[in-house]
Amino acid sequence: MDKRNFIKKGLLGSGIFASSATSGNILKNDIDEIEPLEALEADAATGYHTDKLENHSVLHKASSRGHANHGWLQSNHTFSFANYHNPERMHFGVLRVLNDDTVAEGRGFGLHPHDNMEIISIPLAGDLEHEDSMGNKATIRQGDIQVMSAGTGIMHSEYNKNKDQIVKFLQIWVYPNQRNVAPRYDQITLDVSQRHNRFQQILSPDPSAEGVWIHQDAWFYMGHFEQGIETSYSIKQTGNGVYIFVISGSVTVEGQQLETKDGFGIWDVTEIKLKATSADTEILLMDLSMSLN
Amino acid sequence: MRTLNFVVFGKNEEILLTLKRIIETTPAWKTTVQQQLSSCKNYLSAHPVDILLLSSGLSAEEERDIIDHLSHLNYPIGLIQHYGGGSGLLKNEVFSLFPDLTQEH
Repeated sequence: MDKRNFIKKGLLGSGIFASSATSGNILKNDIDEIEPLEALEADAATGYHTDKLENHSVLHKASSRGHANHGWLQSNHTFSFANYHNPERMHFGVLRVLNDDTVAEGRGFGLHPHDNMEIISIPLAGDLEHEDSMGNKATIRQGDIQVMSAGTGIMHSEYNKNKDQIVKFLQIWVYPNQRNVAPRYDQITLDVSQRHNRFQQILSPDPSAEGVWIHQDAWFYMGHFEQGIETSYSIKQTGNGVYIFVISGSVTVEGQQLETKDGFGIWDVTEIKLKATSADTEILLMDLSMSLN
Repeated sequence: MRTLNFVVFGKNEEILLTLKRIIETTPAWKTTVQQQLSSCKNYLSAHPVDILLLSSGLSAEEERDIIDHLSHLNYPIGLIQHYGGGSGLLKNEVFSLFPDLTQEH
């Protein structure tokens, strides 16, 4: 599979149009392509063959993320977002936004709109209060997962509920597989004991499956591993890739060492092997379509 | 930053007005909001526009129709199928369409 063309073809209809008198159709499309950003190095200690991942992996070190300091909000952007624009950091398949946010005591995002995006929030510490135009008012905290299908449009606000402690959460945006769906909101509380030394499914495309669901061929998992624990993960469907984000601790993935808040994307593989290399290693694994359907 | 004229076409008035406000935080960027297919086509035919931004609430047929209309215009025009509904992706979508703007920004 020519992954570059696959991704390029799959994403969006944006481009420049010219009249038929000049050249007729779309003249150019500057949709970003996934390319390896940092070469993998051989690691004799792990025994993995690093050439296995050549040309189909991408490493995003934590320190290379975009950063926004709004005073009340500290946000680290794995991919281009708001005023952070890096043409090499536009998306990983249908994963468009991975923001690692810290919101000051009692502060938050006022009422603002969203549309045509699957938006997933994962609290890491503190309490996040949500209110939206569909009448939902709720608080999410560590162990919960919240999802919004923004579709035709939704207005919402989100605030740090507490006046005496910060809130930390991941905000993840996934392109939907269909524009203009009916907006919906959901949140669930997960039994975090089910992710001890294993991956717990927290999101899928199937409303009847474990976790929340979204309008996309995507499966998310979280795992909390002790040092030295090894596990493997099998890709859900052909054409999907895996993006791993290290919430805490460190891990090797197919021989690539990852530290806290590093991100690592892999595609054109069927299975990956992971090994926690420090205590209290917490991982978010996202199995995603590499094209927009 | 050079002048850019936008048309934002969609159905959700709150989101259209939000997008207009966000776009016009860049002083040289101007926005016209359109909610009806026929008026949007007429506007595009009568006024040179740099970017048509497709917002939310349009039917698939309306999206296809307006995109088809672009190739009949007598000037080049950029098309953005906008995702996200606010400021998160907007500038990145514009910069992806016109990479030279990042030098001016």
